[in-house]
Amino acid sequence: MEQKKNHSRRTFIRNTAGAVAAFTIVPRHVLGRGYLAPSDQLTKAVIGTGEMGRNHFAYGGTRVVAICDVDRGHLQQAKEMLDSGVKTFDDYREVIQLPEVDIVHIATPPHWHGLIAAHAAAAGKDIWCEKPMTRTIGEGKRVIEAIQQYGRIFRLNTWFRFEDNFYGLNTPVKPVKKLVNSGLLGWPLKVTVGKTTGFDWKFNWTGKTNLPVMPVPADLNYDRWLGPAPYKPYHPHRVHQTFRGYWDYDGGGLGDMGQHYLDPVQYILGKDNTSPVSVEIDAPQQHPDAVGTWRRITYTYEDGCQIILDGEGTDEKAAYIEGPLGKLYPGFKSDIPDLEKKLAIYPEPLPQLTDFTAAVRQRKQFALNEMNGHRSCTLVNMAKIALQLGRSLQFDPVKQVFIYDDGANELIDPPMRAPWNLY
Amino acid sequence: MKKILLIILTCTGLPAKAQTLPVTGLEAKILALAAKLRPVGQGDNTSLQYTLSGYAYGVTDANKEEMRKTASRAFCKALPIVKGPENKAFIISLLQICGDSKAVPALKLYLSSKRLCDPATRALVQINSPGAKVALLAALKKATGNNRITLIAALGEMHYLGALDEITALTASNDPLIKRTALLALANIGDEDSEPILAAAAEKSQFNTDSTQATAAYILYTKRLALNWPIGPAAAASEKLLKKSHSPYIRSAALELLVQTRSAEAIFILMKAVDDTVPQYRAAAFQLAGRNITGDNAEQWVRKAELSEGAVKAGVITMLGVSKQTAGARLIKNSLSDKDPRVKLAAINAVGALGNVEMVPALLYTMKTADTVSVNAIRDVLLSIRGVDVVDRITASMPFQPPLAQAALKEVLAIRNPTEQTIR
Repeated sequence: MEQKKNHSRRTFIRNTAGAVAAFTIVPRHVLGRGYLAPSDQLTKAVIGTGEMGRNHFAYGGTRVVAICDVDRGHLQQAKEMLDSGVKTFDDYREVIQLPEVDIVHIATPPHWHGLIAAHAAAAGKDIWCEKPMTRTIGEGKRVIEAIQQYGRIFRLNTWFRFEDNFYGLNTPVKPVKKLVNSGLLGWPLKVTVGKTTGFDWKFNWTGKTNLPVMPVPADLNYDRWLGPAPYKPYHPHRVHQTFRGYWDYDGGGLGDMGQHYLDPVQYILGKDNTSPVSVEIDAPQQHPDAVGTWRRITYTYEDGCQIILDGEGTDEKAAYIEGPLGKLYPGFKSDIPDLEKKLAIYPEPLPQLTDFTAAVRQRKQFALNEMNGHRSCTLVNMAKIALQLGRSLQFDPVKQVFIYDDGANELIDPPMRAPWNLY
Repeated sequence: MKKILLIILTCTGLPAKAQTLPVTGLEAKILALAAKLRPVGQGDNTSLQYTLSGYAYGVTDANKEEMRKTASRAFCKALPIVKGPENKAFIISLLQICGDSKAVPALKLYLSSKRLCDPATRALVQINSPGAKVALLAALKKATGNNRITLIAALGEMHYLGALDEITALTASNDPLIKRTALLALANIGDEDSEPILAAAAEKSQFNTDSTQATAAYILYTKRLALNWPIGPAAAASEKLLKKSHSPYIRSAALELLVQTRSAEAIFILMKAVDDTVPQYRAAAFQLAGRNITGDNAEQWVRKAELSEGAVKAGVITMLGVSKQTAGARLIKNSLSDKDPRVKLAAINAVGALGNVEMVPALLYTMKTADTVSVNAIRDVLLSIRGVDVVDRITASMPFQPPLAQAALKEVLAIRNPTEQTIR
């Protein structure tokens, strides 16, 4: 079934590419004002061409000119979906040096995100990066430094703070932001992110703990796939669709969905420039290699606002947002009478720059950039560290270090496997 | 099983009798558990790994220093006992979490192993004691193959001045990977005397990025120098980079370092940079200026805008708005009628960023002669400005607006309830 789907999509893209190629020979004035010739389009290289990477081919306004993967099988499949002129590589360091590439899309597993983003920035590329932004808090800080130092434009690949219905909340984020800005719910607020408020934590992304050693497939450069991560003997469950179950590469369902769910919350609460001061966990002890499950994670900010990640979905009466003056439930339902009427008199949230190609062309910061992206990713990484250590932690959001906890601080920026480094 | 549970309870910090066990007893139990780890493919180590790692993570909690020392000691003793390289790598990874300086002698034995050099090096980097640095340097002198790369990078990461001669010599290597790693390590150490070597390498790359990473190393070196005092060498290196590189993004990096190292003159450096003809470099300069702007120097930027035009003026206005500098209010208001559409649009958006309700009449006046882009921008700004009389002012201006503006204003009124009276 999956093969058939891929075949159809491939055929469609091939046909579409043919149509686009045919159009390129038509003089531009014939196509009318506003038409963008391929030669004027921004170009992109996609690094990581698994299922996630192939989604990046279709993101509009740009043209794929190069792809890169350490799995020859993935690379070949991806190449068949694209124009024949697209260059292929197995080393991202060669891709980021290509002068014809404007934007680098990073769709690798998360343990590569920080390295590739920082190196691409140093090579003068703008960046579109998959979530979670980085695997560690330290890598996030380095990415910010690199993006700002080399004057690049960065966007993270989650979008719920500016478009689409926000999962089971069944409403876009904009009216929720307007409601919170209005003060009608009071302050401080408590946000519950769990099954009962419309968010599934995907606990199927757990790892396995007694894997036998398996031979590495001929198509896969396993050493390069591991990159900065510690060497562990190969097993197919560690790579590709199931890698999220291992701490070395990600953080299970929390790593997969955490930034999708939490980035809009940071925006709604106006916390884009800060982080919580504590993270409390209710979870079984974690295996050192394989990610397990958890029951509840509670973040608290300096002003008393809280975010609760309800892993078990036990609190059936939980509101999505609860304040001293009112509650908001999925579907924009509330216990505040005539909420929409009351809300109408308040101004809209400030507009956001949500067109990435415009941000690149005008050299303006995208709505979800390296700064607020790092902060929302820090929520995910704080919880991962607390889960690994098996204890609740206190955090200094200015210095971005844990307080009185050397063990936790050692996990902020663990050394990478040589020769990889992120200075 | 009871013993395992007891240790799990101990390491998770829960009240347990195990906390009162004599240290030697606990150490012996850890050793016994570690000895039970079976080589890969010969059994399931899951429970043992849970137990040992839970203990290693648990003892890093504050006020458990004695337990941490015990753990470190026990894991060091376990290293020669455990069977197979993967189990040794596992124990070393626990020492990376809880090891102390006394673990160095045990760890350094594995620095010559092909499989275990990497985990042992990372554990030593994390321990970061003087002994760890000496051990890594000694190992580098005897190392071969990929282990050399691992050790060079580690010594750089630890900023170990004692490794300077050894690493400097390796920058002349014919092996490009060794040369690249050595340059980056040398840069990371950040000694003033390394400047000619790093500058020469970057010069060969024409101060541009390439696979040698020589320019990246020079930038890293300048950043490291900037952390030292006096700051002169770092400023000189930044200037060299800015002068010699033709790449806008390398120059952007150099500009940031120059502003950091010559902070007293930062505003003059930035004002010159925003006049650059390369848009990417100019945009990076504006972003940097936005991070450095204060109430004290905002007036200077206002004057800069008044003396500029086009993209530069628009950039300054945007920067003043985004950084919410009220000193720019008059300039922004006047620029709403600028003939250059870039300046006009920047001024409209700056009003929105400032959220200044007093500029609503000026926005409405601008709307009368505005094109579609400006009308839409003003509409968005009017939607986001807080104020009790925004709606009244819009309603009053409606009859005097052209059709395009009227349509946009009706949209604003439909969203901002016309009965808006509440004082906020």
